[in-house]
Amino acid sequence: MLASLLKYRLEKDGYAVAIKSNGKEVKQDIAEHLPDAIISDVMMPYFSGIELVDYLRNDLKSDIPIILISAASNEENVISAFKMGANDFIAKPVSPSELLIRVAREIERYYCT
Amino acid sequence: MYLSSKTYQLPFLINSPKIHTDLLWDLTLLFLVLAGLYVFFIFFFKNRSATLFRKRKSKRAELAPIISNFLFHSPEDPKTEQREYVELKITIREYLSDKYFRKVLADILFDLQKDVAGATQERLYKLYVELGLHQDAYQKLSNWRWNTVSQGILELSQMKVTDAFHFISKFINDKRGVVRKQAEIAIISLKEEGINHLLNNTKYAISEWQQLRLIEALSSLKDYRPPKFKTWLISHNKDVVLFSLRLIKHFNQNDAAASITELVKHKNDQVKIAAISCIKDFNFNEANSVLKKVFWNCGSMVKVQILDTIGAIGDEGDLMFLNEIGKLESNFSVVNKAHAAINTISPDSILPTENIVEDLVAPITKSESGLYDVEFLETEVEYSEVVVKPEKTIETKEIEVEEIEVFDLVEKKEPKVKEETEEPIEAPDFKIQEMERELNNTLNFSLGLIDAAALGKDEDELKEAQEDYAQMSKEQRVKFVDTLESVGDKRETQLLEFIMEHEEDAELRFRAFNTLKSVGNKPEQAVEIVSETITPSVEPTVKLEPLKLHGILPEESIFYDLYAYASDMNSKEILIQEIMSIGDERDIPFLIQLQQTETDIIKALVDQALATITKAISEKPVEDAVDTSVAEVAGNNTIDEIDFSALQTLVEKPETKPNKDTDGKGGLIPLELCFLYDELGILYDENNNKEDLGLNFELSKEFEVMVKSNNYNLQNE
Repeated sequence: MLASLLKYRLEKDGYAVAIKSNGKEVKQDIAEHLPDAIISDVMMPYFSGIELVDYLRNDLKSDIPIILISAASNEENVISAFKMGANDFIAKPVSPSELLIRVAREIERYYCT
Repeated sequence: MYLSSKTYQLPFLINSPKIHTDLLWDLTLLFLVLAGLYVFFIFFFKNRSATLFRKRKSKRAELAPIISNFLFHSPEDPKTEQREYVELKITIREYLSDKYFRKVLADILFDLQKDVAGATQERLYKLYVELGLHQDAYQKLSNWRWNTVSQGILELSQMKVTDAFHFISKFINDKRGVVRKQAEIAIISLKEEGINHLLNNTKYAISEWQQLRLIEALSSLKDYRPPKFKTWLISHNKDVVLFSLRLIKHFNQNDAAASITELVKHKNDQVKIAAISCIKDFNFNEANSVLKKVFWNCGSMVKVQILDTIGAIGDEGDLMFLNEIGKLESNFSVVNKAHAAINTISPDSILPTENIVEDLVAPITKSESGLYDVEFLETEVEYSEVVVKPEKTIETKEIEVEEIEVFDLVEKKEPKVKEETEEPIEAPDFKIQEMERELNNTLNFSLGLIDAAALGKDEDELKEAQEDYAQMSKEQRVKFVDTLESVGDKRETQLLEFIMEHEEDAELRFRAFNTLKSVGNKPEQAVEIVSETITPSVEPTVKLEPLKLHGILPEESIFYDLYAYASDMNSKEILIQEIMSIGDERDIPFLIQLQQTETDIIKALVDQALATITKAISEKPVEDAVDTSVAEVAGNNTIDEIDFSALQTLVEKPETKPNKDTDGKGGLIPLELCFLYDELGILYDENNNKEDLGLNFELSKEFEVMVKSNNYNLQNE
């Protein structure tokens, strides 16, 4: 439900958004086509957000912006996310306005510098 | 044989019963039917729930963009979106009549409020009420099932329906525990005053877990200002008192000392322990006496708590009470705690005694000197209480190890009386260096211990100095004159005169002359010399800087720096007007310099200033003698025409002839010298000192009074 809400908000701001319901689908999808940025929950079926970052950075050798969202915003989770190469970490509950700003910033940093 | 045949006969009871074969088939069929039904129901309900889940999922997916649209809609959106919003609103109103739809919608919003924050969350709460979903939650409150009621309370509290406060508050005394607990949390999270309502009205116990959840709910409130929880310390509900004590601790409300101290006397041990814990945390020292009073009537758990608190807040006055507990109390843990408290107040008062081997015999070794090493013996002394027998010493070599007795040795060190004859202190033969001698002479001269006239009579020394000077190179002579300028006094008068007469270099001659003048042996003569030396007939180059040469420089004027920073004509004019109003002799060289350098407008002002200052100076009676010359100076427009001899006299006057009590402060002497006179008991000659040192400064009021009283005492003597 949160995913569809965020999709609506991002699309309203001009982004093209695709939702994947589990980590396996994400993995298959990014292997075929890399998006400009990824917003992922840490806890996903089959493939966690941290594993996704690891796969993207080390296997695909891609440095596209990744923003992780998690309800378990403990220190360990956050540190491991950043260690793996996540660009940002947002704890739930998420403010959609805040997320928009962070996404815009990361995309600008990656593509405009 | 009979016995053996009987042994092999089976007992009657374990024989298989004779059942009809048809019955077996009937039972088989029955169980098969039951199994079939069981499987059927499992599949039926599983499929049903799966279908419902799929249906709900598709419904959620269908409703998600509608809800998103509602949540993120703004009046500034384009017309197409506005139209879409209105259409969705109409559509959803039609759907809202469907109970199932409302349920799904409520579930979606309830799930979503956990994941979103900020303005979106606020919009979501608003949407929940606008769609009338809270009405369904209200209906749940009147359901007979406890789980439905609890769900309704949770929904209303999570969706921040504050109007539901009164409906939910009725459930805080519900006999169903789950409903009651849910209601307690709900009323706290809905309104700030919920905690007051709860503590005032609850009749049931509040478990520790529930207390923690309630505190968590309170902490999640924004800008929460807790009430004074000491109000509920008088509650009849023991759990309310306990919860209040916990809240007092949590919110650090340390203004309930009296009530908390009184609760130590509560008959319930839990309340006692909570109150004692508060006393310890808030360091209520005044509760110490109450703790001691109630101690003997408490159980061991409370006693331990009390002792722990006394250890933390007590002082040495409590040691007697604690020692008494150590002797009288039979409970092991209480005694231990009492000892721990004693050691907390007075560290290392009680040392370990259990399982300590006291009869340790250390090998006594002989040291190199042949005596026994008494290092171990000294350790033993600490535990021995035997009185000292001074005759017995352990110096003898014949002592046997088994016979060693250890005594509490008290060594009294008597002061060694040594008859020492005082040896006469021989005066050290110090060789006074030349510089020290000079300094000494200067000091003695300042104190009036040396006759200044006698100093000059040392003809041999003078001749030697003159010869030395004559043999010096020019650089050495320059340095010598520098030295004389800086440290010279009256004794160098003849030498300076010699330099003035015999020096080839004009500059050095002139400097010697200045030094001679500054040492001031004969001021009248110096002025005469000045008058004779600097005349208008001197070369123009010399004429241009006469004032600079004779003491006062243009830079000495207080207006010099200010004028240098004046950026525009207006500021300069203002400054010259200021000089005109408050200027004195020291500003004249500066004004003359301005006459040379500035424009006509400024020159006119400078002339006015010079005239004004000259007039002001001429009115002073002391300076009557120089009126004419100053007037002449002021009257001249060009520097070449100034009578420098007259001006020199005017400028030099204050230096060569200090004011004699014109302002009542003429008798001032250096403060240090005043104290030195006082210490040495010397009557000083004011006039002499003034002339010699030429020191004249103002003392602060307190020192002035001191010096005056000192003078008065000296005169009386």
